[in-house]
Amino acid sequence: MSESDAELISRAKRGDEHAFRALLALHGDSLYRTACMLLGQREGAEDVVQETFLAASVGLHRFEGRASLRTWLGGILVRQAALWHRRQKTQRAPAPLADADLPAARDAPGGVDVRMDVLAMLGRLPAEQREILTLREFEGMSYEQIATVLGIPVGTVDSRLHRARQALKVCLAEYQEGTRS
Amino acid sequence: MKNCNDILTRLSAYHDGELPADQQQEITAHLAVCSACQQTLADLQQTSAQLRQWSVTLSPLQQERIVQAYQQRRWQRTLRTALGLSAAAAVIAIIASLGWLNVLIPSSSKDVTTVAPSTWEMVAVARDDATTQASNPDQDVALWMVASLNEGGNSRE
Repeated sequence: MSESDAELISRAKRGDEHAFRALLALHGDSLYRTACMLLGQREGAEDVVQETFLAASVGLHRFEGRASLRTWLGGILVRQAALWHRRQKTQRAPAPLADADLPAARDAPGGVDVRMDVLAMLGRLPAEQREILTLREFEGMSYEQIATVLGIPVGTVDSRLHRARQALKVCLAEYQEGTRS
Repeated sequence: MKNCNDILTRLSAYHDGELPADQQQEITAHLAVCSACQQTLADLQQTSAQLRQWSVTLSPLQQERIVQAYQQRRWQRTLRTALGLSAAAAVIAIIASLGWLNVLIPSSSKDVTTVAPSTWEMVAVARDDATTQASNPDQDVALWMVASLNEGGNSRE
């Protein structure tokens, strides 16, 4: 844990709003990105980040500093995203993104100009596959860490990730085919 | 040489560096001679790179909303704590007042209507000859006196 994190946590535990703002500035964007990936859309991602920070501010006294603050917040975020999914199931289907919201990654390795709509493609995958890809690719978790967070065996992480990547490859191929035609 | 299908099922874990060293070496050796598997790995690496490149940031407005929610939640917690403490203080004050009332009111002035009619005296005087079954004039007198006293006590109530 970095020194600034430790100091900020200590102040945030005492209810210091400036410390809370600083923690949000440090980790907010990264958590927001992960939330978008987990949900497969931007809608609801802000709520999930908000609930993550609120839950963290309440439970800060339980944070023992064994993992980094970012990892700890990531664990809370995954649970909040799961809760969000559960609530959505009982409410309505997610709305598709407006074109203006769609981010793109250009100039992929290999020199092919692929405008990849990451969120839209992830949004096509089942939540289970999206979740595991997010934890691996964005959170950079090891298979063992993913197994712990999701409560599944390491072997299942391996096979699920393999299937998720195959599914994503199919989505990408269809997307590239669509952009060429 | 290993079958490509067998390699492909482990290529994802190979890409992540999650295989045991011997399997990692085995796949590296296969890739050196198999262009099809090499291409699959290259695709996998490319997709991963594209995913990791994607970024998004919270707008200042979104950050402000999160801070406001934090402030609101803090106030709610403070208010709940204050209300809880006030309620506890009120309960303690009520209990203490009742205790003081009990001390201040003399016992002679307390209501006696709650005293149950005493019949135990009757039992007490009858107990001596309970085994004899015989009528005893002294006992009859004692029972009459207790009954009279009880009637007098009840009439006072």
